[in-house]
Amino acid sequence: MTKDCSRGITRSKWFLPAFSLVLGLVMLAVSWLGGSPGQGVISLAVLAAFGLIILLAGRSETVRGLRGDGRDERFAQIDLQATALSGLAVIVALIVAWLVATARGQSGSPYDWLLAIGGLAYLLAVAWFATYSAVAPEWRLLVITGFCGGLTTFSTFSAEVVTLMQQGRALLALGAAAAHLMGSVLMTFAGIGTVVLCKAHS
Amino acid sequence: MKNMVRALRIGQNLAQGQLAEAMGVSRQTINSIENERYTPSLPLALALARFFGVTVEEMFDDQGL
Repeated sequence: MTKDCSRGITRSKWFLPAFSLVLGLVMLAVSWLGGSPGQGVISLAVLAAFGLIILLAGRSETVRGLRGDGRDERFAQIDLQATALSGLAVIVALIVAWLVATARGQSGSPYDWLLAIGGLAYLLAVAWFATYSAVAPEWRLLVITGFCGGLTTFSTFSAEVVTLMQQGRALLALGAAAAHLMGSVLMTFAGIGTVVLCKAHS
Repeated sequence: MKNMVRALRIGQNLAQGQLAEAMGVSRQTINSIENERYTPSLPLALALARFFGVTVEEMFDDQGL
């Protein structure tokens, strides 16, 4: 149930555009907290434009395949290989950056601990796949919904609302959506207010 | 991998898109299999063989590997 549900959401053509938009809003909020809202507006504009392009480029089979609604086993494989290759590119860049920083007599941070995280994650993943061959749905839910959801509180929220809608509890779904939305906006304001107060008193 | 997917599909007068829809994959995936750029998963190979009423061994030729 949960597996099919989360799969249904990530396979919607709205998932990636909505995710880009939410990520842009989070970046705007964070930039605002950091005192440079202009940078956040630019991030939001770039991510919103990316989301819009992805949403409107559905004529392309490749976009549909990578976006989710046209995804099949071949696109899943392409996605996995592309993810592995980009991970490799990041690791090579980190190693080079660490070597250059160390040779210049500078601190290897943050490249050292980023490399340590990469190495540890790789070892854990090898041990995991050697034993279980696949990621169990509940772990995938924890990692994907839990981590990204913890970051954005979006996927958990949408998964809950869609579950309620699938159960035919429309009013409850509407109530949950309203409560989540207003709650998160209020909490964001409260968070910004807290930082403003802290800055004013320090 | 060399295969008979294109010959069997044309024999049934089907377009790539129609076969793709029947298999629940994209048209590009069918095209990639026919052009030997993608080796399908075992479930998809079995589904293709079942669809055309042949065996997987008849459909795919691994002698070139």
